Amino acid sequence: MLEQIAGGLALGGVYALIALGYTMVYGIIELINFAHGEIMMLGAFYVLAFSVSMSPDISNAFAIYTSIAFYFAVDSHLNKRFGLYGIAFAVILAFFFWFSSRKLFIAEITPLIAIPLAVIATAISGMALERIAYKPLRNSPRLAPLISAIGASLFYQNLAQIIFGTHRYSLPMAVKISNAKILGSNFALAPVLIILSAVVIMIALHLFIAKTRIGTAMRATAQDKYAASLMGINVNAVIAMTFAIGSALAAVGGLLFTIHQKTLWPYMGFMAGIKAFTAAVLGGIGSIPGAMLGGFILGIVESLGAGLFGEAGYKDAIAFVILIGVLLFKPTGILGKRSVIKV
Amino acid sequence: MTKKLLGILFTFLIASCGAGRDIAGDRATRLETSSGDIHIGVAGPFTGDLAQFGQSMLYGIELAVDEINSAGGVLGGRKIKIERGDDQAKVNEGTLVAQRFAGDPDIAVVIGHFNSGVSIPASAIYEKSGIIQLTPASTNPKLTQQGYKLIFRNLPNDDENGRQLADFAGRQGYKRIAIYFANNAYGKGLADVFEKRAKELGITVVDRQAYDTERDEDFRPVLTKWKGNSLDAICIAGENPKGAIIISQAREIGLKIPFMGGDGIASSELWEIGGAASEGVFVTSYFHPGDKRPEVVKFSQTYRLRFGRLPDVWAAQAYDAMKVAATAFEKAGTISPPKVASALRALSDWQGVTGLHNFDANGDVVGKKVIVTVVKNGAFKLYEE
Repeated sequence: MLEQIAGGLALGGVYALIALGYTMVYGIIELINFAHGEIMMLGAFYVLAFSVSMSPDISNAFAIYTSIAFYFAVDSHLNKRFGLYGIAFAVILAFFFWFSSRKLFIAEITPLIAIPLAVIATAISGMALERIAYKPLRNSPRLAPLISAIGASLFYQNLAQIIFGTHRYSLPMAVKISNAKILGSNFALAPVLIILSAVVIMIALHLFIAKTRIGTAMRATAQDKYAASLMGINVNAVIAMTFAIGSALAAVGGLLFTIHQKTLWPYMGFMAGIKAFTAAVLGGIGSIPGAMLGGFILGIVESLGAGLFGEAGYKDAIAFVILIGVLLFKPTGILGKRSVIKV
Repeated sequence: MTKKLLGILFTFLIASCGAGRDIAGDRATRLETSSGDIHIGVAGPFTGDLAQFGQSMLYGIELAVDEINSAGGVLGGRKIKIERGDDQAKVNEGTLVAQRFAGDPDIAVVIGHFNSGVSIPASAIYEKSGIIQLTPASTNPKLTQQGYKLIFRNLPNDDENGRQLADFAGRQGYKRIAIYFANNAYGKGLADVFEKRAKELGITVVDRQAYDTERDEDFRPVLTKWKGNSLDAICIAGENPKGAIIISQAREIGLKIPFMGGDGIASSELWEIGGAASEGVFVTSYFHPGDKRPEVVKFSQTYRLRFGRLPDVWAAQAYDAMKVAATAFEKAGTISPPKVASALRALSDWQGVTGLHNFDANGDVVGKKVIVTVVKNGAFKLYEE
């Protein structure tokens, strides 16, 4: 029983990290970003691409995608002139992939370099996604960006299949962490690492939003975009920043998910995304502590459900029955607040 | 009214014409007199979760075809040409591949499919359209027990695999075992045979659980439950990569008992995904690259030179399937499927890299040995008890 709960906490930590991305975006522009699971998948693939040598075809295709994403990400929001620097950076990135694919770099790049690079690249992907799929629809009916989000999700799944193929990859870094033990030989490092990094990142994010100027700007934009822009807040930049942070967290989520599930593959974002969305709704969508709570509850329930009922096949059913229950009896979620109509 | 009746009669007439046409016979007659390249279909999971198995099959076949063609081909200089069909390890894709091959009048033999669940429905299509199906991998006994004439496999079926695996467990002295099986034809079949034989040997099968090959990713809840069951070993009746993931997650939660599994987990994904966790896993097989027989040494060397890695059992199985098919063409003196099938049945002690090949009336291989290998330093080694 205790062991099942401990196992559920690790899974819950991964869900919580991904759920943060849903909840942040919803908090600011009231959009369910269904492509968020795919951003997580891209994050995991970036960690892979930066840490091992892949075949030239894969590296080149991924580098081209990254360059395009970077162009869209920086060109629109920050500064028109910055687009040029963006292209320069993209070219450097492309060369990096190209060289690494030809083993001119050391065969395995240290995680300390690979993970930050992957986090930055995924944040760029998130910004590009917002620029292409959501920004043009910002003043449309709410259904339009939702459909656009589903389209983006399918696009990314298929893009990843074209670039990487449909089979599973294993990440050497994750294999090592999976087999590492602490405190003697009985205690696995992986779940501890997952829970700790999830909690640390969530506290950092909470402080970032509560204490910094950008965080204040985010909260202002969430309350009222128009009023915020009157106060001198660059609303476009704030929204882009939200997507960047959410996607950066998704990249870490993708890495932790890979450590937890042992492999990565182009469809990994789909189910994880739906589960994380469930967690976000469960905790109260729009609320950051709610996303954390929802993630952990969902992880534990799934683990207990499969372990105690004897039939592992019911665990997804249990998760979704909870979702339906919450939607029926407390549609705002555990920590959610009833939204106040803006006048 | 008469018109209507006539119409119905006419429809029946046309339908019966179609049914009466002997598609298999047409193909036999056509291929009997054909000349030029010999077209062979290769079907397996070349994309998707099981892509690594498909890739190994392709490598093995590529090597065999190049050796045959560079030695002058078969039947007086006819070259062999491969046509691929990717079944993605899915039943619906597999039947589509089978229908595509059935629509191609030049195909005499199909080597594949990998999964039993795909091979069984596809075999009906091959039999009806007069194509020989020779699978190097599908082990579910049902495949060759349908009364078909053209369906062969060049490896022992799961009755044999499951029995050998249970006998091995008995010799190791395991008393309490749990079975984790894939919910497909292969996994369920192997689990059933294993359980039956284990009970005969006095081994208690404490629990058996199924996993979904497409959806399940987290196996910890079941494994954690088994942690408290004081088991001696866990038997995996399923395929990699899920098998490798199960073992890796079990070691992570501190489950230290031995793992054993059928040929479905005989691939390098065990250590690519599991790393150190895969050390000591027992796997039944028909081949290991360290075998000292001269043909195995030669095969392993050429394979390694060409593809940069040692051959696994599936590359060896596919290599043998291609070679044994070519031998049957020579023996039959034609590529007409019924005659090739007779030639295959008439083979006696044909020696391949995976052992001796004799085919019985059902199309099952007789006399090939199941061996137990163990993972050691990231490679399969023959386990010496």
